[in-house]
Amino acid sequence: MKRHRINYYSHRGRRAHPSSVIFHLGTLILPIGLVFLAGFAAFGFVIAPADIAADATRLAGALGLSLLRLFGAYVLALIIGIPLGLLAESNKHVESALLPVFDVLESMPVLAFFPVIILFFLRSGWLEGAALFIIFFSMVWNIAFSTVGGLKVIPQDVKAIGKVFGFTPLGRLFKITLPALFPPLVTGSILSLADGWNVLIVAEALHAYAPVNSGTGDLFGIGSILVNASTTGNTTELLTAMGLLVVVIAVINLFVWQPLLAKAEQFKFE
Amino acid sequence: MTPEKPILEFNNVKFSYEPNLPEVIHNLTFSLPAGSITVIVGASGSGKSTVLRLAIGLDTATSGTVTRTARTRMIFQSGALLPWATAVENVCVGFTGEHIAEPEQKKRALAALKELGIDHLANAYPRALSGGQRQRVGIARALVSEPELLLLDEPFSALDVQTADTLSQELLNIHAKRTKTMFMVSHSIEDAVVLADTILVFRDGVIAHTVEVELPRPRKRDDVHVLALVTKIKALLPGE
Repeated sequence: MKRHRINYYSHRGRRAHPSSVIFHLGTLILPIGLVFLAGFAAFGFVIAPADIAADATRLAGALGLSLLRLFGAYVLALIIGIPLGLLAESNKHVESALLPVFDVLESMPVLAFFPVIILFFLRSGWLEGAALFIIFFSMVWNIAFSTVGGLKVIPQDVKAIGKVFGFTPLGRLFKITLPALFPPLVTGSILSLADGWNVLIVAEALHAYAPVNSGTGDLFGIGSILVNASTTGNTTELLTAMGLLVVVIAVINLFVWQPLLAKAEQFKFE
Repeated sequence: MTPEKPILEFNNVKFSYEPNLPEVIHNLTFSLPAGSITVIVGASGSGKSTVLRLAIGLDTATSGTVTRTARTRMIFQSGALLPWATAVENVCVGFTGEHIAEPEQKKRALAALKELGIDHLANAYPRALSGGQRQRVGIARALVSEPELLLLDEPFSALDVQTADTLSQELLNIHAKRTKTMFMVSHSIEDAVVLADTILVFRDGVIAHTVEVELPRPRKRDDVHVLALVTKIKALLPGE
């Protein structure tokens, strides 16, 4: 009987799994366990199940909204980041002009500009846009640099296929370039989402960044719940929200990134 | 009787990679008659692969003209297969731009793979294939649209001697059956002597010598006449 080796994939490469089911469950159970342990160590108690049940619907709704924001910003980052990367690699002159700009923009502490961004979107009457923009801004450079890096590792011979076999520019894009970019874009997406989660927590707690008297309230989401639970000392809500966040991130890793990373192996050049 | 028009013609071609960089090809003039096998040999970095790139239009001559009168396909050093596509899907890339229905494409691609003895690997991905099998898929991809001119960029350089010998024999069979014009770049003088009708010795950006190979086929690498010609050509190359 053929034995299948089970691999664990991360954005740092493929590793052999020490075991299968236990390790998969471990990626879920261990982080949740750590949250509970941290709660116990800090406050001397664990979360009461009754409180969790009372808050579950509210937290699930908040998490749903946060995921929507994150996903919206990620889609925007793909739509803008991939063409930016393609543009930067279109020729040497454009590359030498654009890459330093990307570097500076990526290094920019976007949260420092958050009050201005909030004011801008406040005037437009679309506060949601401020959160979306700031999450997008934290994600887009990972996507753009992944695209640039991915384009650089496409072998010259493979690039030549497009011309030798008479592909149209669109045919070249969809049949050669984008499939070749799949592995770096998956790893870039993992990093983007990680950055996105970090920024999301503050992006939803607008009151901390909006100018006084602007009348800005928080955006409903897991981030604002975490920040407010922390400032008001609502430990139960804080730990429940943290636990939920960890579960969702672990589930996304298991059911989205792991299959995509495994699939990406097939798209890599040797 | 008028002489047959050459299938590929370089006329006073000059080329440099950048306007401020020195020329790598100076006044290159030669032509390939239809049905011939021509191999260009030269030292590493002498610019011989650039000649192929100019021939297929991947690079543009700084001055002079390159004229092709035939449908042309290229076989690459590495095989240059798409890792996300199976062998048969890679072969179907050869139909790009042609209005052939997908089932017909697949049928012809399978026939091309069968001709090269690897139809049983039609659904395998490139990473599961050996170097020789990958190169065969690359050859099938190039042949499937029936080009008149085949360009080969060091197709055996990544292969062991035995596989290279088998593949060069397969190329000769294809040439005999379909009378393709073949233009190959090689750093291996042995490969050149085994395959070519004409060997162009490329040196300092020009064709320094043209050697007509009149040995009977099939030629073996260890044949005394082949070895003598290899030694003679090596003496024409710099540093040899």
